[in-house]
Amino acid sequence: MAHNNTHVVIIGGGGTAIATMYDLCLRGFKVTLIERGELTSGTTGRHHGQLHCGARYAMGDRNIAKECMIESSILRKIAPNAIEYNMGMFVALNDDDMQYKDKFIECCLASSIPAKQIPVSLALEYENQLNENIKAAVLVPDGTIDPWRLVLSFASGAMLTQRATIKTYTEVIGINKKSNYIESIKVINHTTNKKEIIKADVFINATGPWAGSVAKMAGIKIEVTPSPGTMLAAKGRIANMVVSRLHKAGDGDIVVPQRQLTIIGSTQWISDNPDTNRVPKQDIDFLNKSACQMFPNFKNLEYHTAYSAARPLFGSYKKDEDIRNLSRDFVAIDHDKDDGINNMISIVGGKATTLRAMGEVVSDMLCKKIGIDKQCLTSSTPLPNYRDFYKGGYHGSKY
Amino acid sequence: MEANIKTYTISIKREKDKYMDFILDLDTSLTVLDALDEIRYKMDSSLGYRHSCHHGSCGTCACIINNKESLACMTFLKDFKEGKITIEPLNNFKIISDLVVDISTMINNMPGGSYLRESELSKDSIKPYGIFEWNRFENCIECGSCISACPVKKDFIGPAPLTSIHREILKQKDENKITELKKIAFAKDGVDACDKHFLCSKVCPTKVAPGKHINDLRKIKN
Repeated sequence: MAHNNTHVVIIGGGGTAIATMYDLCLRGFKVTLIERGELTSGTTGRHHGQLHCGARYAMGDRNIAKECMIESSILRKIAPNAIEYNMGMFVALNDDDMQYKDKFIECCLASSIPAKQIPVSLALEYENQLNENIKAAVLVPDGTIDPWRLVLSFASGAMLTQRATIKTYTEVIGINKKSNYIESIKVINHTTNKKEIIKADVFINATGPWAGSVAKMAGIKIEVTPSPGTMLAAKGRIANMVVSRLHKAGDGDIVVPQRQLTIIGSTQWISDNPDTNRVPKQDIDFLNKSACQMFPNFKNLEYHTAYSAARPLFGSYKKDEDIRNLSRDFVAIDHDKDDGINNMISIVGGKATTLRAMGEVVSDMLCKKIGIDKQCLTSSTPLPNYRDFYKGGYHGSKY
Repeated sequence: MEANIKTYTISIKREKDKYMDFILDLDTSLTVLDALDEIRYKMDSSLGYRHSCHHGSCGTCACIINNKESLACMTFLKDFKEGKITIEPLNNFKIISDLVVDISTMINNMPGGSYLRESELSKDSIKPYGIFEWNRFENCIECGSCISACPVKKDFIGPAPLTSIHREILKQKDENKITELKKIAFAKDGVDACDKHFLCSKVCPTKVAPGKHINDLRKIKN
């Protein structure tokens, strides 16, 4: 089969799904993306907004840290319009934090993250709203993402190849499985109320915390734990850099400035349903207090809103386990080996910063699977402006 | 903390002039967008609306709430005295379904260029190596509220595109590009089509004041 006739259906419309669509389109595949709502209306749109250089993970998982460093550098090059790049700072507030500092810097450097301690006076010059009593500051290359516009840039890139079709407000309601493969999926278009059968050569399940329920339609079990967290946004920009607490990753320890807002996050809990997770009211007080430790003036900022999104963590949660122990890494699953379906791949987990890498891993897996030698082009190709997405009319219908 | 539950009638304009009422009990701390989510997940999965960031940053969820252009995610139920809330799609855009509109006409009238601007905070501070100026995203989140509220009926590219053109002129250093941008701004359907109603500035959720940008463009016309 010539690969440019290979039709791939991607289920999901978040960062991973769209980055995968873009990657496959650049490699010459025809792709149809099916999303039950608006693009990025699940986890992606509601994430904290941090472009992770990986420093936050350097102590816990060096591979994730390294990957974040590589991917954040790539995104800064290919999508500068969707990133406020002002760097980031880890600040120590007490003796415990100070104990953590040297090991933190060592782990960052071992993960190729150029972390550098700077004098407190310089940190206060960079960020004059910062708590004057900080004991140490470490500079790292973090930034802020506009998730909607970043992902739309990827979607623009896919649409410009004229090999992508995006079907939003279209929900998968059935998967037609034959003995060892998926023949088609049945979808309903909510805007027209019409049902449709879509055939494809390969199916990719990139539905984040919903991956388990999509897989279930194909009779497959995927362990994915929806793990929501709260973000609190205040009106007014209190910093230019992302400012994190110099201690073991925990709740309420990252302040992300964005546009004219300041967003502190996050918390984390376990949910069995990723659809509607309301912000626990106690989270707002907690996050407020946490932000004030780093920025005492945060308490004077006007409340903007609080929101939450379900992270898609791969694996199942055991009662009483520390939730932060669940990995933030992503996993691509070829359902051939364990589940006996030879044309379906699922991708679960990961984070917004690594969306491009996730697209690359899934696309590599797909190419290998069907015996096509096509290299990934996404890390070296600048993305078009997100506004180009609209050049083709509503969701590229006129491309 | 106790939940404060109230019964709301959410009346949504769906097909042409047909409104559908949904009656549901909701915590008053929730937003109109949360209410739409509740309706979609629990009552009618076919309800169409746009949303992404849930914190007033992406601009996708703009619609007309009780006759005023608003972001559904930043409109809180506690601010309504009455329990009835009417939600309609934005005006002056093609409706795809329910509250979903096609904003491509607006975006396609915006220039290319950068979505970043210099941040006002610590503007004069020294900066880390490699950072020339602190930057941040533009204020306009391209939600379309201003275009919906604008009463001008003649051909008019609208407040958001003109704002975007003005911002780009302010940032642009290339004289040729500025001339091109001015050509668009001062075409028949540009600045001159604005009748100075200023409803654009009134409804803008991020206080961009498009009316002021249009006025500023007028000043540089000659």
